[in-house]
Amino acid sequence: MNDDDFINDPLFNSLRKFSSLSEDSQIMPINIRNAFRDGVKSSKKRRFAWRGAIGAGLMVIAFPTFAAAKILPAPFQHIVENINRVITSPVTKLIESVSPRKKVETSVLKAGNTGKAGNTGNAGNTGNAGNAGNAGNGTGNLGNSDSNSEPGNTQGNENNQENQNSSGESNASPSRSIRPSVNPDNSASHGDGKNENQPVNQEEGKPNLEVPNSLPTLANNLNPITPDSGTSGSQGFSITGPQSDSEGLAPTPSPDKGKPQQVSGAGNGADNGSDNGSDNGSDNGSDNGSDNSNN
Amino acid sequence: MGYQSSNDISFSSADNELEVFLIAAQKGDEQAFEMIWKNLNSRLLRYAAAQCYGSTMDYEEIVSESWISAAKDISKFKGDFKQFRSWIYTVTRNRMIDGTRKRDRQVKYGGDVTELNLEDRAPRIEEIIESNEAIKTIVEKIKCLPDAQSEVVMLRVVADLSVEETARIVGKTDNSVRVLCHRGLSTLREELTVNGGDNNE
Repeated sequence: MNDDDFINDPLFNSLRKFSSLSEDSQIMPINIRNAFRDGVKSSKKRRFAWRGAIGAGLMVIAFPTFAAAKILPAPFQHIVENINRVITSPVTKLIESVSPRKKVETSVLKAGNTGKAGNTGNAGNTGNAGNAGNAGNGTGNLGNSDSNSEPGNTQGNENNQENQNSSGESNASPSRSIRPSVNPDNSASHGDGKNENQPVNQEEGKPNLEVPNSLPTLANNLNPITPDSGTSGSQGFSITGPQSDSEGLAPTPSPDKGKPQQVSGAGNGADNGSDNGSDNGSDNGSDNGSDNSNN
Repeated sequence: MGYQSSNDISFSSADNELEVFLIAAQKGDEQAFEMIWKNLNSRLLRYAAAQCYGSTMDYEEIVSESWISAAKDISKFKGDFKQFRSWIYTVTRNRMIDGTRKRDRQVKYGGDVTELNLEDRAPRIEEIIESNEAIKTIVEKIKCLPDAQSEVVMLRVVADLSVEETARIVGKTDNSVRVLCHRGLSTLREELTVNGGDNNE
């Protein structure tokens, strides 16, 4: 059966007539009108609430991003960073106070920071270069005492004390200061102040050590130097110059850290020590020795 | 034929106008909403009156509540005017179902049903039905049909909805609506024929 046949069936004629009658009063009731106004208001509120929420969400996402990219104007940048700090700091504190795992992580981070401080230990390593300079003084005294008579020692000590006063910086080369008194031919070849020269000089200087007068001199010279040089490793470092020939001067070299510092500090020590030690040692030692021998 | 086509054109232009009114009402135009109300309210009242005929439910109040909820939520509505018409009829139907359940509860638990009897208001549509014997007879016969058939016939004839709109309102397929209509019409014919025969006798 067709749909239109059903509607147009004569059985429903009266009913269709009834339904097609229109109402006389065609004025919308006030309650429906008020409901429509309320609906319009609530829809506006809902729409603005959504827009506001979406806008706020976008700002919350965008502003920290722009602040991180540093493309915001300065005042906004400052404000956003302050807000970030204010927001994150209590949370960070709370997490640190509550979570032990976080504590461990932060302590590890702190240890990492002290690891950076460990880098400053390199300065201590340069202090070792200062020790090398002192060793130069000591052996310089040995060189002085080789051929020394007492006046020669005195002069040698004075010169070495000068070296001490200027120490850390200038006392470095044990070999060249000794060498003129023992083996003048080596002065040129061992002028680099390498460590390997030190035992050689000690071997060569063995007869010199038998002179009893040299031991108190050595003690006098070494004792005050050692603490100074040990603590004032930075002195040896502070005088760093372009010189760099001091491979063996550091008694405890650290191969990884601060190598250039050791080299430069020792280089100073080597040059200064060698100059002073060799000059003083050779001049004083030879002069005094010859005088003493004459006497 | 020519009359038919002019009717179609007028109907479509009215539909277009109502479509425009609906869009304007959704944007907050009160006059447009009033135009929609004027266009739909009369049929909606008659449909509710026919459906509530013989019961104690106040169909005017039901229709008014339906319009109030439609007025509040018209900005949320999405669809054309036909869908809006289906929506307002669906709201009215659901409110009538709620009213029927409420009335049944009050009768079951001993509530005073007479308080809900609003005969004093004397609805005019009901009077029209009462006054017109033919209308009264057909409405009573339709009310005697099974609920599904009665509802479908009322929506199709009184509310003048299409099969698709009726199916959307009652939650059935188009074919089942057609079948229900066909069965309802057959039953009505049988009843009226018997009654007519009896009357004739």
